[in-house]
Amino acid sequence: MTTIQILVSGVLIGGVYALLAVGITLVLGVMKIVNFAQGELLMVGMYLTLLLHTVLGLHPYVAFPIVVVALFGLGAGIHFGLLRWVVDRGHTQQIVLTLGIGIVLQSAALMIFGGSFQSLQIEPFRGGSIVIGSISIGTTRLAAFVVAGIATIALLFLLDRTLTGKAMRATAMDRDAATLMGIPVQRVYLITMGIGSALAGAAGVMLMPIYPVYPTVGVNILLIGFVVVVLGGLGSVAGAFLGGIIIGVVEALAGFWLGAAMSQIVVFALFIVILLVRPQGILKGDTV
Amino acid sequence: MSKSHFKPVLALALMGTLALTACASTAGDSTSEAEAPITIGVLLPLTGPLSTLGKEMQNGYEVARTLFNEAGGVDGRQIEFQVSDAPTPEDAVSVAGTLSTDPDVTAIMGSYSSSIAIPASAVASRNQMPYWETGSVAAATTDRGLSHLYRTVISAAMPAYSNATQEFISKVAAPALESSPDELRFGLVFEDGAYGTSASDQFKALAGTEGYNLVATESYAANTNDLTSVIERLKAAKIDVLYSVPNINDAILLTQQSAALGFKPAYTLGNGTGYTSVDFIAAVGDTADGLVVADAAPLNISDSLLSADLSPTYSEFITAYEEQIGRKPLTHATLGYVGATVLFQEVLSKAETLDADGIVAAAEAVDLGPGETVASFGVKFDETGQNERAGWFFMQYQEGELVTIYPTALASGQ
Repeated sequence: MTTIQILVSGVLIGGVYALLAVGITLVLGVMKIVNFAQGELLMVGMYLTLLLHTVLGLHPYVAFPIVVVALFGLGAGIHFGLLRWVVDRGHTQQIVLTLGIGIVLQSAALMIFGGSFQSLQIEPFRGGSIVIGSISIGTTRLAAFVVAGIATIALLFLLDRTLTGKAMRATAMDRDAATLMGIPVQRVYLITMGIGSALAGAAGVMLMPIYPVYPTVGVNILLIGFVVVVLGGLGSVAGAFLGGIIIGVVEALAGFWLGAAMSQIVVFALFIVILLVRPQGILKGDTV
Repeated sequence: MSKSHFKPVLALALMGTLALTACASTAGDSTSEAEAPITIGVLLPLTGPLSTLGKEMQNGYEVARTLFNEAGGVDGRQIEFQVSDAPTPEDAVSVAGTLSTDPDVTAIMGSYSSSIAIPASAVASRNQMPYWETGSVAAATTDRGLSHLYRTVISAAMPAYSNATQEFISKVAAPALESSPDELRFGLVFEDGAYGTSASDQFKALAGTEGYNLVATESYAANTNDLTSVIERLKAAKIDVLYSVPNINDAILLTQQSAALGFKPAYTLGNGTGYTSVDFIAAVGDTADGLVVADAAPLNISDSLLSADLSPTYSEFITAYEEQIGRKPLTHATLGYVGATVLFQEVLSKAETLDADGIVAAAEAVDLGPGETVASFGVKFDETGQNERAGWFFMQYQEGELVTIYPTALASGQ
């Protein structure tokens, strides 16, 4: 029974990892940019949720659309003001720029909110859980998992069925050919970065009732996010979702069987094994 | 980068340098030696994950400084702080280097966290700069026998620390569970940094000598975002008493996830830090009620329990703190206040000279008895610089407030 509980908890936390990783993988797949600021965008999403709650009294799940739209705007703004100048440049410029954006966002959060750990507590979600038999499912974690699932499906639908999605996939496949076909590549990038950022915002909203926010909260989660992206297959949206769940479960099971101190070793050992044995990831990065 | 890009960068750098030079020259103006302020380098983590309690300790320093300066300072000379942020051990090394080679700095005071204190004090001692530690509890801080280090707060290696825990368990916790310590099943959970490891090592040693039945020992990284596996392992071990040593965010996570997963040991004994921060209280609210927390200073005591000669008194400290900060002090503010006040009143005021040798001599002469600080413990440094009179106290969350319950002489609530 305990193993099932661990499995359930692992799958649920995996949902949060997936939500962050899907954003990273989308930007990576379409724009070929590794966005090191994704963790900080998540942090912005968390603070925005907190602010909307403390100032306007909005429940985080009510604030969800506001945060997602705001983060879409922020992401699009970052692309318009900064990223578009380095899309054609080498990876070094891109890495330095996204790292820099991350540091600026971190420092801004520190200046505005200070370095303390701020939590948001809303009944009935605080410590709330659905108990089935002896399995307890945290309501906030379940909500995060459901949102991750819906977001992934919606994104896959967008990529597969809409004209925008087709343009995104075409740009991902061959940027020059896409330009020749009359696809407004820069606008596609703008939308991609906006969606990637909105996904970080969504992850932020869902994480806020679970975990306290502080300016460097994104750093640790981002590291797991990268492992998930590599595991799932660079650029694969469905892979990122699957990878998130796998990492969540592996971390939880390793933590239970071997002790929490060992769980990180197992996760990163898995990361190294994937890089050696299957560098393309579980699902090859062809979804985007 | 082309050459033309360098010009504005160079110009900016030049302007910056000029501005700094200007600041430096105003700082060293012509006030005579007798009236010149005394500068204390404050080294604390003020940003990053340790900042919550770093700031709390800084609040204590500031209140101590205000009260001391209002009372006339050191023969009319005011105390000034040169505050430096050291969020990580690496920063601690560089900040300690800068402060200890600054001719204006008389002593360094810090640093709340053991992970900051250990590297920073090593650098300061190498540069023969007095280092006044008010917050770190890890044994390693003073165990290294550094020449210029003094610690006002308890060390986890002190017998008083283990004895207090042992006495509390046998006289308060076990009777409350209508049992005896050797019949109870103990669990230990800790964050695997310098602080958690040191405090848990002491508990393991205590469990060994006292014959506690320690059935589960779990550690984890403090920056974790899920503690389900840890909690499930503790749950499976069927423990009666949980001894827990977390930092702040993991204290919140542990408390919330334990509630969500239905893990409620009969008795939870928390070790300081994570459980005595404003953030913790704000995050968990009344979920914490009943939780017992051990820390290095008692809270919510009264003047009558302390020496009548103590000045400022406990209530004057509380009033000044509330006026300046806007709420009551917690443990780390109290420890910061005590440490700073002892430095100002007993060392700087009594030192014959304010160089390193003078301060060391004055520190070695400090002799405060029980009740002569607002944290109730006395101060006398042993040969390693450790305050051998520091104490360890037990408090309980009652309606969202920490009330001292042990030692019974200080107990304002039960």
